[in-house]
Amino acid sequence: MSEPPRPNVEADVADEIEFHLAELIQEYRAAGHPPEEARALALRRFGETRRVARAMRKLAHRREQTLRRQDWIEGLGRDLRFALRQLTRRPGFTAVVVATLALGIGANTAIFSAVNAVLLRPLGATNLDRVVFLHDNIPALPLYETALDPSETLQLTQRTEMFEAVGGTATRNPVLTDMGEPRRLAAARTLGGFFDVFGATPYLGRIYRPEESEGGGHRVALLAYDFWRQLGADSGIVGRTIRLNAESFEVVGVMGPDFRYPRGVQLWSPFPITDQTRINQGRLYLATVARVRPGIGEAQLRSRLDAFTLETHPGNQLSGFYMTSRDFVSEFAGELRPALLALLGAVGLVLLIACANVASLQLVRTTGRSRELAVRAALGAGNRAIVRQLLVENLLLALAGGLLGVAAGWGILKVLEWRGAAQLPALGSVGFDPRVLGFAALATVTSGILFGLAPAWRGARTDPQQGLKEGSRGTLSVRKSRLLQGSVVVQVALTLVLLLGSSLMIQTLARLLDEEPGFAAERVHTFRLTVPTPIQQPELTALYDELLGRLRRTAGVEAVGMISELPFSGSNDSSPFSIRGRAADSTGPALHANLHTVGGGYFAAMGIPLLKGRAFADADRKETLWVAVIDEQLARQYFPNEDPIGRVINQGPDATIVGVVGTVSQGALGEARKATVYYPYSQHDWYANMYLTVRTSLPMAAVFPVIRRVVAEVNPRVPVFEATTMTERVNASLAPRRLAMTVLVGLAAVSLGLAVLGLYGILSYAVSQRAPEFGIRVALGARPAQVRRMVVREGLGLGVAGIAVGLVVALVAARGLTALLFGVSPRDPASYLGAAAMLAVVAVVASYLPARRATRVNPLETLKAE
Amino acid sequence: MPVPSVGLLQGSLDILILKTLSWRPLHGFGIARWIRQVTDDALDLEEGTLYPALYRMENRGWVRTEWRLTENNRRARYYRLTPAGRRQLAAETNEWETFVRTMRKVLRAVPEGA
Repeated sequence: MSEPPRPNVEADVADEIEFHLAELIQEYRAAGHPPEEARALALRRFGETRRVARAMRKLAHRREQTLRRQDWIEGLGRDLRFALRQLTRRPGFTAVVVATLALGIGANTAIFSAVNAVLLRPLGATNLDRVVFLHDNIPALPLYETALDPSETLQLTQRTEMFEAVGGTATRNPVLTDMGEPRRLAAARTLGGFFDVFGATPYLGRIYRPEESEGGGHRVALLAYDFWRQLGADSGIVGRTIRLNAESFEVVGVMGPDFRYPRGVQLWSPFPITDQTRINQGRLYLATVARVRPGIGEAQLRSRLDAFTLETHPGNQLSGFYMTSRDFVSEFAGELRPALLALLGAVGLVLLIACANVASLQLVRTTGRSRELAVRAALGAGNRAIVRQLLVENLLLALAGGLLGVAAGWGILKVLEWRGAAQLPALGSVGFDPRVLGFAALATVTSGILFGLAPAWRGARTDPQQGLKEGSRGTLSVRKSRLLQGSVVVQVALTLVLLLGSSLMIQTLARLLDEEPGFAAERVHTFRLTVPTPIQQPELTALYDELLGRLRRTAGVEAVGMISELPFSGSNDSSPFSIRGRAADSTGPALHANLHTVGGGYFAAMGIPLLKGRAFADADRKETLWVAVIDEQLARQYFPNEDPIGRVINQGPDATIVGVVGTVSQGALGEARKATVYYPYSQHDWYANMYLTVRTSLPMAAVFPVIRRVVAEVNPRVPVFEATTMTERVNASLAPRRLAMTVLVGLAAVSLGLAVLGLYGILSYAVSQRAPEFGIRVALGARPAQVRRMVVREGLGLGVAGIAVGLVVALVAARGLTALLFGVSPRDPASYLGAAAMLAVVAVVASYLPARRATRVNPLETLKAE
Repeated sequence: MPVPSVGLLQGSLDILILKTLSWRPLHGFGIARWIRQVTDDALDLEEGTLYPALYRMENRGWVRTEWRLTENNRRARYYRLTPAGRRQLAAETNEWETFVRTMRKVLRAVPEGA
């Protein structure tokens, strides 16, 4: 709608004053005053003209503004009503556009909400950018990024010039004995200013002070929010005592619902400091976090840590020992971080594809509407008005897509949660918050502008004369429109990137599943059990003996064993050791190995092969020779040219090597393997937390009750929990990658569908447009095959251009996947070739259908229609 | 007759203009001339002050304007009262009359028992 011509404020004001003065002068002249005098009198009568004019202009401008604003709002209302009519008149088109956008925005919203929960505000705190993990590194062992010895953490808490706060945690599993059935808890003992590092505040009560670790530690505890809820959410709990491992702890407070570190912990208590704690014993098990002072950069922190290690470990040049820091948020998220970032990139591509797709649909439609637009332009609508009208329509479409998208995102999230939360506990707290909704709104508006600009730009260029002359059918030559071609190329190119990513992830998973973990996971059922302490050591051994004996005799059980740190359970223990008779190399680092305590037929139950010597036997008792079994890795690394059997190692008490077993992966498939020593529980009799490993063909549902019953028969106070098959544990370690792969494959499929629709739609349109031309060609004797080839060539041309662009983009984008890949290069030529070939085939198929239609035209019909 | 205080004049300018326009559309000069005649020039108005008042009234929707030719064939901007302006006049007249009645009562009062 054109606006009425605006009156000129300046001229009006001048004219009005001029008229008034002229009339006054005339009056004074009529009264007999001479001209000069009449003018002076008139001016006096009127007052100061300049001041009056200024006041008038100001008021007039204010009025103009008000009017303009009203016009604008009315115009917008008109545009909205018009847009609604336009969109409801073509429900099919509108539905396709809205669904496409909803898909793109929904996928983005879902993935972003995961990114938000896991990476942006993992503990409900947003200012974690200065929080780091501190690690020890001993290259000669080789040991990298390990936890710290408690003495090191203690020393670091004094380094206030580097850190505002330093804290350490070690997890343990005490048994809660005074609230119903005994149950094992996930608890953390914290050292130093652990809670200050995160700026955490209690939900109820108080946070215990670092000093409460002194003198063996106060018996106080903080409860996690979820655990407090499980206990009945009683706000009077502060000040009460609970019994853990038969010791009384006073509950001093409850933490907030978002504070979940270490993950899954139900209770925090002070780490006891004794005189022993202050001596570095090389027990690298205290996960240490620190808040770096503001103004200390990465390089500065590194040099200060170097100075610190030089001071505290004077021999560090010899062992190569050094400390490193790593960003807390990225390490906390672990493998989820690269997976989520890759997915965020992928859903971004999908949204771009959706936008390109909608843009091409819109272009074709805007062209179909060129007559309408021409009429409006001819009636005086300015370019700006037409662009605004089209933008309003597009934003309306985007809004509908956005609203539906947020709903879809919610659905996607629920499915992901249901499918993945069990394996990815970090995803448990994913939800929609204002930040996620803000992101969805931003995605909506951005996409509305992205797909709306091209058609609006074209719409604005409509030449009224041209539009009216061409007749009712507006045309846009596909061959001439760079915009249309561009949108197809973009869709094909980005689809190729997603196909490639999927292919790389599928290969990664396949390679990882091919990796031998060193044990036979099938049919192995695992359980955890915790014996309430304190317990006398002979009793503990007797309890394990009886338990394993009874289980071995249970029907259906082929083999049964136990171990202190089960592979793929997330637990591990390692420490230095020495070899008797071999001079300690004072210049070199201490030797280092995992140490696990096992019992019963652990190796048999897990299917770990015995390579040399013997496994542990019932005859290995505390009074007999202390023995150890080493793995192949240790034999190869430390006894390269000699027989390890009969050699004595020391990793605490002396132990004689009696056997060599196969090496297993401890934490993840495909990881570098570390030397490991196994000891029998009958000699290393201080482990009250054990994993049971049972090899049987029975299903878990049948095995678990049996295990429970047998354990209860032996000792009713021992809880059994975490019933999981070994296969489930191995799979869980692949969960982040599996999530990335599943979602990527889904996204690639959706994109492929969109790209096919895009190509097919545009070619169909081109064919319908050129029907007369084809008619003439056929009339002039062209064979249908020739016409078909022409159309297919056109589609294939666009496809090839898209593939070429896509290959270049993919080379760059694939680098983002590097952290997730295993056994396949981000530049794997076969994957690139496969993705390109797949798209080429798709381009031919999408072109062939319109091409066939092109040759079905009856030359006579089309010529008549002209 | 002494010139009334500026405050009183400012407050009453709107009602004077509205009253003037209540019979017919007029241009600014016409309004000034009419006020002068009716009041025997007692207000000694600076006629330029009418215009900001008129513009303000236009912004408030009390008057509408259009450019027309005068009887002498000159282009002038005519102001016409809108229904809103007419309602405003009625309201202000009422207010004024109440005020004047009250003042008169006060000024004519005699002490009790006199």
